[in-house]
Amino acid sequence: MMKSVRVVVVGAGVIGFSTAVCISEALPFCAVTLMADKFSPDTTSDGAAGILFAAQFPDIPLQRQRRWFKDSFDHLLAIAQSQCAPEAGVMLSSGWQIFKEIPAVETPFWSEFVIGFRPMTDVELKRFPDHKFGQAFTTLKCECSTYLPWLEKRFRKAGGQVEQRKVNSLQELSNSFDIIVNCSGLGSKILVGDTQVYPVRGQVLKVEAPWVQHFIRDGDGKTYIYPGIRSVTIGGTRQEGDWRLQVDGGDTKGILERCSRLEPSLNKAKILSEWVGLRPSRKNPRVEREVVQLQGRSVPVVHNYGHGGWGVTLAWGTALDTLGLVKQTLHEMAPQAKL
Amino acid sequence: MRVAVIGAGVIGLSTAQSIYEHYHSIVSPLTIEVYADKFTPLTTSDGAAGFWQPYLYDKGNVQETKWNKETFDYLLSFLKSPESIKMGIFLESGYNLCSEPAPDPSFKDSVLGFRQLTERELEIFPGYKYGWFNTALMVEGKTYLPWLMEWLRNRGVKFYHRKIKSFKELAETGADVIINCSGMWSGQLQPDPDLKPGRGQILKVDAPWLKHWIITHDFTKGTYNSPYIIPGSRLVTVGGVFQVGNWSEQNSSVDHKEIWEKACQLEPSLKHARIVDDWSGLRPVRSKVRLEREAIWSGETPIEVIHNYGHGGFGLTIHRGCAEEAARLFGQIVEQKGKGPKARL
Repeated sequence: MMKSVRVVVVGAGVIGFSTAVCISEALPFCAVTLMADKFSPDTTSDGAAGILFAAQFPDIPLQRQRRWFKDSFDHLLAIAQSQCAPEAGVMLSSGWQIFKEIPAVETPFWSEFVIGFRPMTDVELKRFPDHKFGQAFTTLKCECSTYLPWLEKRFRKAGGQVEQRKVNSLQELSNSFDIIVNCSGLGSKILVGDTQVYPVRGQVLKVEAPWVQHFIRDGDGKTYIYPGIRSVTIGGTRQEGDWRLQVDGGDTKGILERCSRLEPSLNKAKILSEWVGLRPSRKNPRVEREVVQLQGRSVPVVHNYGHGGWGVTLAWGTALDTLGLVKQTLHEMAPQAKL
Repeated sequence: MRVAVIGAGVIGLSTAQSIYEHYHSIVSPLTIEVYADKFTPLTTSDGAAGFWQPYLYDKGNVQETKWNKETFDYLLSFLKSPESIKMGIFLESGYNLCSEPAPDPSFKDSVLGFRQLTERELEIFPGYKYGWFNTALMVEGKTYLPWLMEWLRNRGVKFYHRKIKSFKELAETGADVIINCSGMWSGQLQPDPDLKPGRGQILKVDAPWLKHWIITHDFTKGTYNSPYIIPGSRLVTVGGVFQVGNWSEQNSSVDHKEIWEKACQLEPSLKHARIVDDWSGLRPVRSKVRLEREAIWSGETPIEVIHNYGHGGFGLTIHRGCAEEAARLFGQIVEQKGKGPKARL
């Protein structure tokens, strides 16, 4: 008789829900529960602008990073082109990434996965007198305050269960679940004792500027303007090791100054809200599995955390990778679990 | 000198502006009056999407391409100031789609970042095999016209809500020069068989996730008789039709249905968009823009008229170039009448 494999996904941000959907849709014989302390609109993902492009991690094979990016981009592009786009909070976004100095890498690895990537023309650069070089392309924006509820619907439809509960240790879960999938972001610092995880504080403002149709991002990642469905997100800050969740007035002022320099019309924009998020950063995202001894049992744990500021960008790709690791785990498990 | 402008759409107002800019310190006194039966938000310019783009090909009419480029550069120059928002000007990128390969459009050097569409982009638009991407400008009539009117009002230009029935009527009140910017209805002031309505109908839709304009081109059906989607600052304009000879300003449910269905095929996400409004307007179509002087004889003295009408579906696109040219023609009249700087002393 086939016994259902009990899987728990810890974390309800974009990583948690993407991973939970991937697992529940691909493995119908798994009973998947998503468990988290915070849900949308209170996750880190909710405040993120959700624009897709990546950074390069030092220790992960480039081939794998390319796959993560491509899988995520293709998945969201298909949604953007469909009727579901507004319900899922996904849209196409064109714009420019500009650099004050010519960057070492003019054509990054992800340039072939976004659409229409090309260097900016001299005429286009004229608008940004402080900047010497730029890239123009079309990418995607995925707004988690809309996307997460949409993913949750998909998850429940596939038979997933959702439980609001703060998980303080993996021990708590070991009796009730056969596989633990850890998508707890910054929480992994405590949950699995990962000292490599650290916050990178980011502050953003949401303004009302419906005439802004393009994103503009300074290559240093600290100044950006991302038009969204109902507001424009402007930012930002990158404060490493800073755990403060309160809005900082000095940061607000800095953001407005820097962004208005790039887009003067923002001077007239009404500020709708301010928000602070802690990017769950790590030298490299941890997407791997291990076996942990919990209360005398060997429990398989699959990790998917540490995406820093690239969570939305890499969510689907790393979720698919995680699904692969779960499948491997199932293969190796005792015959109770039949595939 | 007294200048009477007929028409308060984008052509009338911008021509008044150019004349003021170039001549208010040269001709003293310079009285400018604008006469119209329709003011913003009820003009043709107000209903238009406000998208800067000429027709694909100028067919040798390089003068019009020059005026279009002049307008683009003029509007672009305001972007470095927050004033651009009060004028309704902002950048927007998008796609021109064709069902078969076509020569590059005449405006390719006027816009920003013009390039061919990549394979992947064409995959986003099934049914279209070719096209271009570029960044262009929006200039929304409902914001731009009030801005122009305030600009003019602040400089002493007077507005009169009155339908002018003849040039003679204005000449008799003492106008020295009449600027005819009466658009679609120029034929009522002076018959012009070349001027015809190019009826358009649009839907205004709430779909704020759309940030790119998409214009399709069907060379068998003619300009703007195939779907287009143009996001504005608040609503998205969905069209279109281009019915030459149709004078009806009523919304047609047949057109509405066809426009909506085709647009949803082009952009599936529109299915969930809320339709907010319908509007019909008459593009003042002509084989070419009529921008020239005419001395109309009525009695012993000629009435100096400068015609500036017939801008079809590209009035907002070409307005500044034409206004500056009209001002230049006005300058000729100033010289001839001896009202120029030499005449001061």
